Amino acid sequence: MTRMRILGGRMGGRMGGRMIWARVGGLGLGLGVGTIACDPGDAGERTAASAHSLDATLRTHVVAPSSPTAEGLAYLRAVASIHERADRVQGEARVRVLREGLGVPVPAGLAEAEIVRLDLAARLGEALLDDPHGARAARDLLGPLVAVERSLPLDRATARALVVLGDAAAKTGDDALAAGSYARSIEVMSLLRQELEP
Amino acid sequence: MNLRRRPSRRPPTPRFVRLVAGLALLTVATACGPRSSEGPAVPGGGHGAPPEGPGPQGQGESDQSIDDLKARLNRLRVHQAELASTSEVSFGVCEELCSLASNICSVKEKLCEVAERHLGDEEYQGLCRKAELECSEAEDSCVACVEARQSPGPSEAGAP
Repeated sequence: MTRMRILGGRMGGRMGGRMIWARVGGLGLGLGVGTIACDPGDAGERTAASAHSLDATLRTHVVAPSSPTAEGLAYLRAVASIHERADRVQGEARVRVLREGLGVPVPAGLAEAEIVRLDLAARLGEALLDDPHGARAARDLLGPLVAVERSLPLDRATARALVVLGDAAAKTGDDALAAGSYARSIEVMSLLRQELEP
Repeated sequence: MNLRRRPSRRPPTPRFVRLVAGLALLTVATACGPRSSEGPAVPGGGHGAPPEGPGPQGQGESDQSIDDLKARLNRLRVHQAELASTSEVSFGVCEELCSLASNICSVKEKLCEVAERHLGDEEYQGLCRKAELECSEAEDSCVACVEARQSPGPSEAGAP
């Protein structure tokens, strides 16, 4: 089932069950179109170059629960352990631990790993942003993971990753990427909200 | 071109803040013991119908009365567990809705802050307006959920 969302209008009702679907959203007045005025500003890593046009396209899918396996459980435990270790350290050490987490091999068939890895990446992005010069690295990390061309899991981890990408983009002077990422994050959370409403 | 069109920072409404605070208090209340609004669980004491079954009879109370009381206690425990289970589910939904509302409105602030740097660009302004609408809808959704939970349902309101 495919759904389309255009600014100001909603089509279709609620998504159903475990059916994987895609939803295309254009939150801008023109989808993927637009030129932006550069605002170099004077903060941190802001640059005069602005690589993106304003694009708030959102494609999402629901991650269907996978069958439990020993390998899947071991992976989830390994990631939980990574988060615990990251809790205990700060700064560069935390970045190292979280990068290690992203390097843990994902067992085949564990659909939920997409969300788990996105959450890890979002947290890593947040840790990178703690460094005054980490915005570019955070952007390089998250940009490809939540690119507008990709379908993203409908989950809070996606919203979190998009916010971090927006923050990184704002810090590097790419207002178009920042606004698009924030708008997509809001859209994900709105979809989650609509799922919860009676 | 309208450069000063919108007051983009709409703070959370006092009603929304009150309801979120109320939600937090309800969390504590739910976690800390039986709910006094569950009529049958509260011993009778002059608030309407007399309590079900025989009253305490002190040291002379018969074995039969004790068995009756045990049976009644078990029924009440089951009833209370059912009510608690239902309310926890709806409470969790409200908590999630309000958390999402808070996050949506927080990201809306960031988005509109970026848009303020592009006042002449309708694309940015459109995104900001849309975000404001989503924030408002999410807050309303949170408020409605909490209010619905606070108002007694038919089974609770009419319980003896």
